[in-house]
Amino acid sequence: MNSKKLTASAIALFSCAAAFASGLPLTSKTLINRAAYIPPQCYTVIKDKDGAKHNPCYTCHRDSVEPNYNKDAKLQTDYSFPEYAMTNRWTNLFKDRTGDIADQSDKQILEYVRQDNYKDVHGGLILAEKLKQVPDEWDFNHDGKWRGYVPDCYFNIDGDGFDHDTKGGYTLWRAFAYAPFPGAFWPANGSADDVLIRLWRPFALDENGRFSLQVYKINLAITETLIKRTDTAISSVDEKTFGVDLNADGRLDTADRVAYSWAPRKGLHMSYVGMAKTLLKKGKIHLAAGLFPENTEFLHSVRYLDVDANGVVMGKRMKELRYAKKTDWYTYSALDRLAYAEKKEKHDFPDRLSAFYGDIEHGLGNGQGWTYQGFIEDKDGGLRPQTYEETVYCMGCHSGLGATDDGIVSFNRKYGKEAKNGGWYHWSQKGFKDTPEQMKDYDGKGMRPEYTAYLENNGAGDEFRGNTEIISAFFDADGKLRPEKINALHSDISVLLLPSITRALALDKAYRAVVREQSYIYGRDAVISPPQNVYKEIPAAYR
Amino acid sequence: MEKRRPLHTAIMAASILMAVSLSAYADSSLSFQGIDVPATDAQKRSVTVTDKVIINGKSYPVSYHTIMRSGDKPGKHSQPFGQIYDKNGNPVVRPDGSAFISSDNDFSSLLTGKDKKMYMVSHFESVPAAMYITQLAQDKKGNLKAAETRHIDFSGVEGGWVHCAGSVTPWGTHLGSEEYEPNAKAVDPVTGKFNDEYDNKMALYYGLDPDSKEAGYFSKLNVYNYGWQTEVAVKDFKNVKVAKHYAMGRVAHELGYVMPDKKTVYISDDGTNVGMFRFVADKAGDLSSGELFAAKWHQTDSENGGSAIIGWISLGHATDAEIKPFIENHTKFSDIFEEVELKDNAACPADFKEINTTWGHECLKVKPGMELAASRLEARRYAAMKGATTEFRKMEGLTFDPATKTLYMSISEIGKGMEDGGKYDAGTENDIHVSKNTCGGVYAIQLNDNYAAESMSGEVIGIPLSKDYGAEEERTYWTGGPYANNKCDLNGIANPDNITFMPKYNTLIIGEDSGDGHENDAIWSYNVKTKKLTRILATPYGSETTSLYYYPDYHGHGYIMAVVQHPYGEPTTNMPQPYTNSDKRAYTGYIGPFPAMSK
Repeated sequence: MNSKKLTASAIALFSCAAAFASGLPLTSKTLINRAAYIPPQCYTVIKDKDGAKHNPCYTCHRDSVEPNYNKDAKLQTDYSFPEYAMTNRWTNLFKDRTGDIADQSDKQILEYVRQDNYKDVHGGLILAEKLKQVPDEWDFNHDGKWRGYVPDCYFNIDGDGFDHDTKGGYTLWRAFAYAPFPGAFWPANGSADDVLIRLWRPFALDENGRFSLQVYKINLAITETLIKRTDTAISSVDEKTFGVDLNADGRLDTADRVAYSWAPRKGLHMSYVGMAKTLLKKGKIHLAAGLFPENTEFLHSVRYLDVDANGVVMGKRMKELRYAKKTDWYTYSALDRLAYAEKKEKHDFPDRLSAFYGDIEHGLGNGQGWTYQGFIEDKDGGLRPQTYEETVYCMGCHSGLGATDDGIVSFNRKYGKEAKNGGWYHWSQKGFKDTPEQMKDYDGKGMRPEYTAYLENNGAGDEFRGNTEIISAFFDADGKLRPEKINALHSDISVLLLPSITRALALDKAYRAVVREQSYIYGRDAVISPPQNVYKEIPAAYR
Repeated sequence: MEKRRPLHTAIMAASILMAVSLSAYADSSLSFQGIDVPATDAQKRSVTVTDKVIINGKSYPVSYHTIMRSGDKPGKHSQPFGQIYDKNGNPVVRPDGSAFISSDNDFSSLLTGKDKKMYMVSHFESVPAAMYITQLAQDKKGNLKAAETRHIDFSGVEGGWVHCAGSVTPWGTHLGSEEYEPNAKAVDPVTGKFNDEYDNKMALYYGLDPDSKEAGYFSKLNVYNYGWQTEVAVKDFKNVKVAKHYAMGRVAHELGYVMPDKKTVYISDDGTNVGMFRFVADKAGDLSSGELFAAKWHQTDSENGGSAIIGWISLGHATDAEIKPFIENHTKFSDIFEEVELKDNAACPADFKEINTTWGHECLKVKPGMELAASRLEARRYAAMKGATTEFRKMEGLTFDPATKTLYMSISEIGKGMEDGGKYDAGTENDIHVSKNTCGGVYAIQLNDNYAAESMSGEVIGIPLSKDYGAEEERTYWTGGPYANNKCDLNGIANPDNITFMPKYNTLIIGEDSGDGHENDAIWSYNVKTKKLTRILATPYGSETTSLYYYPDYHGHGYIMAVVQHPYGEPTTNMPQPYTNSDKRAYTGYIGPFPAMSK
């Protein structure tokens, strides 16, 4: 016992000096876990001792659609990791947080999660202010300037999803609601999230260079059409204003939708409107199905769970702020070539680990045109840039995954015309309550209610099958889905996605323990007690 | 302090290199000035190259020169270097209208056409693959420039597949490879889809959609068209002849290298659980018929990568003409072999043979009358069935020192089947049983007067520092220091790939293709007499150098051809970062020019 205590205090001392658990400076590029890009969920036990199979993997690993050439459906059934990664290095999974949870009162944690660590009392952005004079320990090249993303979203979202700065101006960030990705991303399993998109400023300008909200909204609808490969409803517009046949009916008339009509080799072309149309013609920007235009940005905040009169809601406090920007255009051929190079490397050197370019300041490139950067709480709860290793953690899902469209998961999952305001709203404006379950087709196997199918395939509501609350609510003693719960789920996803208040607070407390330790590199999942269905070491049978 | 010269400076300022031509010296000696290991972030992100070489006591400047980058069109009638064309000669175009331009530049040979002009034949190791013929111009200083380039028509041999390394035959033709042959057993019986590692991309060569699920849709595709030695003879820019030598066997050809007898060819087989092959042609200078042999490793020592007596097992005689009909008649895997599935520890019947090759642990029997087809279309499986060793791992470059009759071969990782036991040895005789060493090594293979290898042993072996790389004890560099990301000792090699020997100078040039072994891949000069290793070039983090090949006297100058793949991947200053496609285009070029060297 003594030695345990000593170790703990030694770690505490070390943390003070070196800011995070590895003991290295924040700017270090040395990886403690060289396989940090393989997330903990990949270590899920997919076959029970009694032979029962669980497949939560198909949501990420799929027979992807061109131009996503990372067809990785076979990863649903094998653990083809490099040898180094056969050991699960996400050791935080195996820590019992019961003590940490008991040490914090409900009042304390609620006070904590209700504290805004992003905006100050005047509505100013704390992090943006701090980055004006970047602390040296964040400054990779020590030149006194921050060259990464400077937060510029105020989360002052209007009824149309648009964000406004303190003077009321458009920041061009637009919040959208989406079907939360099955599993770890559900609030029931730890955190609340939101996502915003922003197109490059010329997409909000008319052909004369004047700001036009209408132009911007149409360009966002065109982007949605290209990513979803299906028509998108818009408010009626006169196509003559833009000189673009948006509804693809062969003439310039009134359009109430953007039609998906793109097959350049068959003579079917689409165009953005306004200044973006001019830039497209000049070849300065590009357009293709499944791809975002250059300089598209995404902002994704990950938050603690709070509680109000209606139950569990998104907290003010951010656990993380994640940012992505598309900095370069890759054609289908170029993307195919990159996927090929990746496959060839994996074939030639199966034990070789993936490498990612970048650092704490510039973010990390996914090699396919996108840069990712994140901010995460320091031990006192203020946001700081993620280290290189902490950002490598993001890269596995945002580089070679079958489930993404152009490296992005959320936008294809955006709610469409059937939803409030066409899906353009922030979760704080309308929660999950009464939001119907979406239908989805995985790998051409037919449309099904997505979450119901997930529960069936996985036999649980999280990858590790550790969320007993969902299991006992949705499954009977024989492991069969309860029809009445599924019926309720079809019309209201909150019955599945939201945890009980008790669980929500326990998840918050468990995660805060990780924050205090600054031990994200060992796993940042909110773990109440160690899950059983996760390998510490991939068994020999799979190697 | 040694001077460093970033690659781009060298490329921009090609003219600064003052090449001097001179005739061969009697006392041939050569040494490069070494460079330091890149230590700062800036150094790790640029190419550093030695700035001088001392040949026979005289110092010459050295730099890397680009002949072409993928996508370049050097002349009025040129096609974009690396653009992939289909069987009808049309560019392969994807649904967004983008052309497929490969940046997987690999081996480039320097040849002289029958018209006495200078040519380069270049590999692109993609699927479909391509070879390009480039007419070269040489200035007085020896600098080489591309005049015109075009793709070589492979329609007569149903296209090309992952053209990797290669060599120049003693009779002046280009001998190219087709690496990682697709597994014939994996072909979908309904659609004809390859189900290969590369998602059936060969379909693009026939203008087909690789993802189709229609029955019989891929009937034009045939796995047995790919995985061969490919000889290219250049008459002039317009007349280039291509032949796939079916007699030489179908494996994952990294490289075929012809011995001075013009008959014996060594073939390195790349991948996991692979073999070593030797082809002996009937007639000098004609690779269309001959006997194929596979090596048997009789281990004598397990130290330093292992040593062995090499025996040879004949796979029989064949001619291209005998094998071609098997391909044309769409012979299937199931026509050649009968198989018993080894599920749940099932035993392999006595009249079958248990093997373990690239395609795993199998139990096979050759069907009556199919020995000849098996010996060439399935050379590796057949070799294993005959008792040859298929436990080698990642055989790469081959080169030869005629003075000592030593063949050098790089094995970029010593592991898997080469280790003692484990799943890669199931069904084998565990011929090779050495310690794992992920840093790999270069082996020396001693040939007899008939150019048959008799023994093999580790010559330059990397030194692993971490346990997962094979070190007995963890002794990696300090995590807080500049060398933390190197799992192989920086004073040794890591993952040797292409190698080239400089005869008379006792110098072996070794190129690395490393992941975690060395953070920055290096090119080394190794003196086989003094055993001294000198680092002469380091590439940026994430990029690598391939296709080293030495030309002592090409029209009056010496060159070491080299390709730099995916350079400048690392972000530099502001966001948005310069991740442009053009930055990732590979360079085909050379280190030199040197004075004409003694041959």
